[in-house]
Amino acid sequence: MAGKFVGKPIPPQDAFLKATGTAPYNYDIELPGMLYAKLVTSTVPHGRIKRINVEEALKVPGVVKVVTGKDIPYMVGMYAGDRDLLAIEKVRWVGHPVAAVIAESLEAAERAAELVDVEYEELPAVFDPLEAMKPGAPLIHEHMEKYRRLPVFKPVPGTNIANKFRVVRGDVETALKEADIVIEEEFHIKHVSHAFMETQNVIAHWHLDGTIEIWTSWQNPNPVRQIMAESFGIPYNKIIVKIPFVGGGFGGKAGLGWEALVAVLSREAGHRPVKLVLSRKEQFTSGACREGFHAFVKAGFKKDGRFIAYDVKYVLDAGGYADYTVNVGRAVAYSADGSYEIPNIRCEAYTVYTNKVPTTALRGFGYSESHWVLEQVIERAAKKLGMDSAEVRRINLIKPGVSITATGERLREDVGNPRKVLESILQEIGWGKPSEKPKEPWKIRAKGVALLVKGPAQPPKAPSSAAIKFNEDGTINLLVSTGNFGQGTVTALAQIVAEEFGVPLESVRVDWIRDTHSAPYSWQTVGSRGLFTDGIAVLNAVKDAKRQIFKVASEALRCPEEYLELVNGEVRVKGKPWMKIPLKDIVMGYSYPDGTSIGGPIIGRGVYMSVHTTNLDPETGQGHPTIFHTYGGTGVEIELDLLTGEIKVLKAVQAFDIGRVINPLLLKQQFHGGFIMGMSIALFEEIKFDERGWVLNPNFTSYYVARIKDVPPVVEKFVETPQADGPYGARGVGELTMIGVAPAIANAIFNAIGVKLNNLPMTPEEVWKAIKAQRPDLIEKAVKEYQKKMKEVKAVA
Amino acid sequence: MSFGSPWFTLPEFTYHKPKTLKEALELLDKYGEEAKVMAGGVGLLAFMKERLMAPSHVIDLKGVPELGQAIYKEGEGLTIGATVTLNELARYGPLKKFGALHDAVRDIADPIIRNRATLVGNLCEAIPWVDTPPALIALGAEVEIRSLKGERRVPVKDFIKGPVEIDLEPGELVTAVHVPEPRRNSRSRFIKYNTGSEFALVSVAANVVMDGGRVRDVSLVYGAVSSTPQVAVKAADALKSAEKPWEVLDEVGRIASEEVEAVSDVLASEEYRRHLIRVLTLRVLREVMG
Repeated sequence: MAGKFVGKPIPPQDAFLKATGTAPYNYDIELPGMLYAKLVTSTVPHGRIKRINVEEALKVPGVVKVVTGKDIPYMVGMYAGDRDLLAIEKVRWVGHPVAAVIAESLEAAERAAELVDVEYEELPAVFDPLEAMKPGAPLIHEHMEKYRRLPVFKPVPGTNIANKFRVVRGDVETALKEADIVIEEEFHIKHVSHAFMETQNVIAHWHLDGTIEIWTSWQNPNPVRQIMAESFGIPYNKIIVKIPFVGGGFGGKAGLGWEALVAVLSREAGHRPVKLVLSRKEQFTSGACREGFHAFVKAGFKKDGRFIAYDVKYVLDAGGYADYTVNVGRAVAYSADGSYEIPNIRCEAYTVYTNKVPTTALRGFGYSESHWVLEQVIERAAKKLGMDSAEVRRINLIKPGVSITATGERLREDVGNPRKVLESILQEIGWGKPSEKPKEPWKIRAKGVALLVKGPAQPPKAPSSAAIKFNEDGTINLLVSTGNFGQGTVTALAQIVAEEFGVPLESVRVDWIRDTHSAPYSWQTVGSRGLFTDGIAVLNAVKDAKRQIFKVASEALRCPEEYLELVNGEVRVKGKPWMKIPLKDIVMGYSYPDGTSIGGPIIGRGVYMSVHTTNLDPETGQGHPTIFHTYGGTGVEIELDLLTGEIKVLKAVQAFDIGRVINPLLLKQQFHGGFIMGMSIALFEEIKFDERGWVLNPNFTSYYVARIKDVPPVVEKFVETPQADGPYGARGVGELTMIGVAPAIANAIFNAIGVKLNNLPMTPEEVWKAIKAQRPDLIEKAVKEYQKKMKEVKAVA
Repeated sequence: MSFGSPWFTLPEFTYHKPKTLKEALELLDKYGEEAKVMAGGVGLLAFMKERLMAPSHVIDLKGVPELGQAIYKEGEGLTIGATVTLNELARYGPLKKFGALHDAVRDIADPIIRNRATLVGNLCEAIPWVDTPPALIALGAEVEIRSLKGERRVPVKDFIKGPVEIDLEPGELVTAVHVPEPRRNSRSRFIKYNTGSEFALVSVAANVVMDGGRVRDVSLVYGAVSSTPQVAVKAADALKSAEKPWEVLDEVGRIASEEVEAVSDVLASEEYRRHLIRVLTLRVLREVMG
């Protein structure tokens, strides 16, 4: 059932300002007396800083100060706690910030930054995480045991392993012996950029009284405050973090940012506000990207298609610091089993330092990587078993209420319906029916499918809260701190409030600035959790506000609360709709005709707290990691040009069991946006390094992101199995829409020509190389077909 | 070569906007190596942002009216002034007679950039993967160069000496590019392969003169494969000497892929480039001979 607002295709509330180009992003903000900072970054991948000469830089007119790591020797971080603000003693990658120039103008800061001269003593560097794991490899963090990390993370001091995580269920060794077939493969994924339109940028003002004011382009203000308060030992209430419009996040604005650095720069510059904006190149080389990834798998199946054993080792190339990536190393392991019940599983994940750019979360982190591997394993097994891969998927799919996951969690009955997801994709893509033959015989068409599941990767305690504040005219300010960087969550939250109070949507406003001072706490805006967690907090706040409203109305209308109802913004006596009070006459207190008043301004408050989530056992990874599992999948039909290796997606189907659709318009946009991002990463995106760890393509001309011409039609399939503890039964979906795209494409190619594509991205060159190595005959045949066709054309002409 | 600048600001320079060609040449003569000329600024400003160039004087040519014209004269050919933008040229009707150039000009970057960027600028950048040089070379174009000392003409093929290196002395200005009238029964096309890339991984321009069923003359020029555009002489000879040219196209492509210089860089490996040369040769010959 659709409500008046819930379930309706309502445009995002911020669309008008964005479309007119007037939305204020952090980049647009300037404070009076503001100074500009510019980073000086390392030119060697690994080295000791011998000397930093700032004399010439200080001579540039307008320069206020040049700060180096020694001046501000703080270590910061959210998870691993392994990051310095500016390099202290040594640099760990090319691009590692070494010094910061602060000046009256950006021009002066840049001129001076060019003149800072740094001398290094180079140290042996290591760029391959597999090499970096070996004994005797150059150590990148010698004292990681001293870092202030979250206790769930387990670094291995004396090595480059920033975190080791294991998930063990059943007996994988025995099961592999009992398997009728074993698939053994390795898979690799290159580094990718978040490619958000607005690069990271921060304004910080360390006021004279010790209050720190931060303006930043980040996903949620609370983690920013947490990192700064914990790192500096400053009370939380002295730090005010404000976030205006954000030009994209994709996980790259979730963990550790530049706020702590810029705050200290403000203090060092005499307590004036300081702004730092990363250029696109700096974003590539000094900001953080998605890690490089390697997987080594053995998978055992029985003849009847049962998946009985999965033995996986993951190695994550975390770069010079691994703050958030240690958590990626956990997510990739506890999501190893995807949508299937695999009774015997052993999964080890190593997050490893290298002398490359640092890494962090990226939309769907861990899950994108685990599914790239798992969904191809299923496809390969099906072929080896001589079975339809859809049938192998059906046989192994989890059963709600019955199945146990890799971490030993029994899935709730209303967890979702992956079977319905699978069938809807198969039907839409025409599974089993051959594709239409392309006119050009050197091309082939094929279909591929991948399933997936994801929940938010979060600690067991990750609460949210919300407040509903009424204004004199009965309009509502909804206060939340969940971020709004393109997903549209706050529009959905406003819909919920308007629905519950029966007021017009325009009566509910969520401010465009998120701040830690006036908005209630929300742990983080990550993991596709915003609508689920903050949606429940909002519903609880609604309940709380209604309770207060009914109490006042009950007195004013001389009627017990149970006989009252809230309809169209009025409290009415049930059955006697003429006995009513409009909300505006209650929410600031109700006044009797003689002026005496009761009640007072209404503020509803509500919280969300995760239910049943636990820590995971440090040895076996057993426990209950997530608050929901959203099942979904992607189907594609592709065309492969055998002459060039070029893959073109002709059609895509996205199906997800989102529990309940709150806003179909925004949901469709997520389905499309996620597909495009997933396809772009599948086919094009790769940060390239030279043998000294320099990024070769730190720009959008040689780091290619999909353009609109690359995008096929996308069909959306909503499956709705409501979850009892979700808002209206809804589950999160934002990140998930990109996860299945890459394995679906690879599966299509494998289905059609048996060529294995184990490495991302599947650029034309990579695909051509794979075909040339595995099926060279296809390329030569394609050339012959091309020539033949040309002669035919000529003959007709 | 890698692009991507950490800088938002440009190095300091003095800006000049002469109103006549004479004034422009005098400024160039006066400042010599310290000066760079700017038309659309698409290349120059990017180079300056990268700190690959830091001229003390920038001479903006957009105020010189005689440099802003494209003129076609039947029998003589097309002369394109230094400040004619790619979009102005694309809209100029007679360009269609010059198939390869028409193809190249219409597909560079995006419409916004084509509103600023000029053909002469694109040529003078001499970045290995720019699109117009292979087309201009295949069409036998020449560069017109002026200075206070006089003027000279250089074939485009010789004008590009290396990556970002052109045959231009301090004080000299490229005023125009001249493309001769296409030969009778000739046909030229330009195609590039740039899937998943802003720049071409490989481009090719072919200019063919047909004579009945045979190819009387052909020019095959490859871009983006090496530091300068590559002319495939042996491949052209193989096509000219074939009695049934339609039978040998893959052979021609193979010869071209082996004879030209090709390199590995951030966009593609040498191996893949050579394969693309083979494939694109097939495609371009299909276009010009069909």
